Amino acid sequence: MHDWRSLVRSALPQLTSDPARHAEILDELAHHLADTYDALLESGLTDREAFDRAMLELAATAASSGELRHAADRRTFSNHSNPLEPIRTVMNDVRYAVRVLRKSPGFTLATVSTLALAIGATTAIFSVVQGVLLRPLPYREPDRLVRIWEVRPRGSDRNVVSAGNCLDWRDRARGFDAIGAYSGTYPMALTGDGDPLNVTVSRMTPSALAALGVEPQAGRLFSDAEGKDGAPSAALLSDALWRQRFGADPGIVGRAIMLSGEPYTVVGVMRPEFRFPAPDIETWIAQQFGENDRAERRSHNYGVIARMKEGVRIDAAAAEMRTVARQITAEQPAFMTGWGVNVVPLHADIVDNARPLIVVLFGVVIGVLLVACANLANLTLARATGRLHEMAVRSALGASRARIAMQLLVESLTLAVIGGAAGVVVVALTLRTIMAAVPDDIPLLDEVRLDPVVFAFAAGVTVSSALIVGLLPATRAGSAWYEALASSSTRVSGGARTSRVRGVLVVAQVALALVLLVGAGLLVRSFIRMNMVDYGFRPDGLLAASLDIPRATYSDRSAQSRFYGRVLDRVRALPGVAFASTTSGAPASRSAMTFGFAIEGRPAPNPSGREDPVPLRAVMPDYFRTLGIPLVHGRAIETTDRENSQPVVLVNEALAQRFWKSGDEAVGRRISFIGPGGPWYEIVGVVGDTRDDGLDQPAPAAVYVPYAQRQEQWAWLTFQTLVVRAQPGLEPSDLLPSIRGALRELDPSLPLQNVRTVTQLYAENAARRRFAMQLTAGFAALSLLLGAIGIYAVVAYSVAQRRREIGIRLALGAQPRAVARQIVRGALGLASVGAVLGVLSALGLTRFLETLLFGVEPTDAATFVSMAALLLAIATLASWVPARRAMRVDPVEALRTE
Amino acid sequence: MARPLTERELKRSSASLLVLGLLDESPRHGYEIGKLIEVRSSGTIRYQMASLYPLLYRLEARGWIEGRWILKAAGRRRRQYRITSEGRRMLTDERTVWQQFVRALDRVVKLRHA
Repeated sequence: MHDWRSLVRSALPQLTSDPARHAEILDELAHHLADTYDALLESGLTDREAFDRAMLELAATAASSGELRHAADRRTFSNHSNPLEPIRTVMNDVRYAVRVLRKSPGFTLATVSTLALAIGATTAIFSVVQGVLLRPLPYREPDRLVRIWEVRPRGSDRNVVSAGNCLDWRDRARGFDAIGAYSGTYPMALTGDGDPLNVTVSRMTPSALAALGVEPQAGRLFSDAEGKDGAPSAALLSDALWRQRFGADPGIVGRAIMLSGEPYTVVGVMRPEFRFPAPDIETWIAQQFGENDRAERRSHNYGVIARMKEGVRIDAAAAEMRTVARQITAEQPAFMTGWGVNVVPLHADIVDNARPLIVVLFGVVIGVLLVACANLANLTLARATGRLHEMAVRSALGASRARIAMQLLVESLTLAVIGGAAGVVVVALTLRTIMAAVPDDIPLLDEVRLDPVVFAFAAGVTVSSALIVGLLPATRAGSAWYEALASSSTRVSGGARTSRVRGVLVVAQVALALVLLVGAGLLVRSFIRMNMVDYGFRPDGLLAASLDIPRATYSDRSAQSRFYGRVLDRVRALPGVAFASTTSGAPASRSAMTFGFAIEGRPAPNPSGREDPVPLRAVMPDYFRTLGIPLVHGRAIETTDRENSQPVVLVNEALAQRFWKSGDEAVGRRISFIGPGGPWYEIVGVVGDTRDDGLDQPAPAAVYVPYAQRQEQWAWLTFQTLVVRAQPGLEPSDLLPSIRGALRELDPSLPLQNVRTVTQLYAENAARRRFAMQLTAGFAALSLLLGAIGIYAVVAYSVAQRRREIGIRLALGAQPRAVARQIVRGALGLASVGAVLGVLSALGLTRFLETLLFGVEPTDAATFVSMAALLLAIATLASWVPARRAMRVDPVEALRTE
Repeated sequence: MARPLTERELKRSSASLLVLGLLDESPRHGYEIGKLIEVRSSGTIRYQMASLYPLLYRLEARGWIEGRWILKAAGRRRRQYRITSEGRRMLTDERTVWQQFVRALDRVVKLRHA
């Protein structure tokens, strides 16, 4: 029985704008054809002849469909010169496409969901590319903003800057509208107006705000006077803090607030989008510099931000800064010899570190998208070949080759648009969740959103996908049905060229999948290597939380150490606590301050008479036992190391080995943080190294000073990180309520903040690598699956096409296993070509991964070989399934069906 | 191309007469109309689907005939056309015109004895 209605439907364009009327006409014409056909059969024609005659009639109707339309729809006197005709045709194609796709829901669902996943993932990562790498910073003329760093002799080219340099740079450099300094963020306790609250603050000079070119939403910025020593303390509030803490009260401007026990006058409220220097910033306080600070060249504490003058180029600005730096070095040879200066565009400075990860992830999703497109092109090609009969009928009814290609293209476009839209909608709904999974240390994440550029990108990707998926089948099918028409066979086959095209698609998929697999393999290996690295202490079972005490209440260092001693007495007495101590720099973080030091009797390399700075931690007794850092030589810090007893320090093995042959030689030596004249601290012990710069970095040299014995000028060192080791078997975070309780009893105005387990600290350090690994591995697995489906589809199709040939060979006595083997070999041939191309591409591409790798070379042979082997194994499996079907071909059956 | 053109013109001018005349006898569906014209003219006048349905839709649009769906046996739906009263008036007019025309031709060139 012929489906007259769909034949009529596919032959005719839309006849009227009224769909019901259109359907009626189709029905009527279908009945007419059915009657014609029945009558012809009755008159003795064969089915084929009757069908052909009916088709002729339909063809004639289609040829003059204009007349039909004219008659059917009196309101629209349309004809072929109608300028809307092409649009009408495309709309018809879209309607037709939707009908066709509805008829094969499996294919449609598979295609749409694959595209939704691929386009969605690509869009999500592109929104990060756009938000972090491409979109200009939210400041006025951001291209003119630069950061200026000191360059340390034999060290970092982005070293924070001393106060003296900040001032000299500001006064001498001419190429800038403004040069300002700011401190890193740190917590201060906000008291009064309700419960004490830790707020994140940064100190900024008035010129730093001027350089950034921001305006407050209420009040004013810091005045120049407020940046001078001795002026009343001024503060600016963030929009969030102003709303949450002060109920958005406009009267806050001019009032005083208490920060760590001292009054600050609120001079203004910043706009919500201003989040410099860190997204969690809540308050800015005016950095005050006096003439004393001009002499300060030893302690490097400030970031420097500057706005270049209009028309000044970065290289000119950098050249001027180098000249200024040379002058300063000439004036201050003791401190500045060997130091340089580095001018970096602000945007590059912020994002450079994150660029490799983002670029790699973008490459990965593009790879997956291409694999998905190749896969779908393959599927569509197979399907188009299966629809040759439909194409033949349509061509018989007068559709041109271009019309049919267009129709197929419209079909893929329809699929891609549905898939792309679904992908983008899912991304839009889940963007915040996705971003929460992205490691925090990627800057500007709060700038990530779906802006018009992202939408345009998604649209572009959608159209490109449609072209990749649809163009090949469209052109191939176009010529294939002509071949089919030319041959008189009732069975239409795809032809050799279509098979070749499909082979090429499989090779491409395999190659891309292998590139992703190798990348994932390298990242997984790095991750495993990293997890085998010894931390240098036991991170599990440790809780860390930050504390700060107001200098107003605890003014000198003995009061401060007495307070922390009392805190520890309380905490150690709590049930479930094994050990507790405090440190000025949390473990597994780079938060420790660095200090240069002189070694007694040893000439120092620097004119200042000191060695290069190393991280220094002021710790309370029991620190090493709490963290599980082994004591290698000598003794640890004891409660007897008091303010007025012989000053002592401990060093780690890395430091001991840098200056002496072995650790025990270090014990008994003396060092000074001031210079070759003392005062001296005796090294009483050597402890194990800890990997504070991250597991992928060598352990830095480190010095530990008893908190009670830190120098008088470090009295500003009021904040400590409390570290508590839970007794075995206890969850460290369970101790938190009782610790909070103990603290409240001691001083109710002190909030605990930044509470985390140390394992979390390390997890955060490793987050970037873990994130890259998980994402790449996930997408590599996906592309492997798609590749396997691609191979399976091609082999299954060729087995179906070659049923007759296989049947003949089996009838002639071929072994079924030999037939199957031959089929698998054919598939493996394709896969091997893909694998070779994949390996070659991966060799070129994995170097982009370099910064994310650890302990593994980008060209690691073991990874390449194992991933290629995995891929070929999967390819074998994917082709074996249809090959087994070939073994079971019944020769008689296969020959009869033809 | 002269001959087919003449034939087509003849068909076109006589089309409404043929359809209205057939429907005046009884309501019929499209295929039946086409078939009857072909059979009764012994194959001389033949309407393809391509021209029959535009004709029907035009007549319908002018309000001379009206189509409606009726259920046939075995659940098949057919669109059946019937003549309207206005169509009947038109038919009368057309009949008169054609009769006069044929008679006139006959008088001029003796059609019947040719």
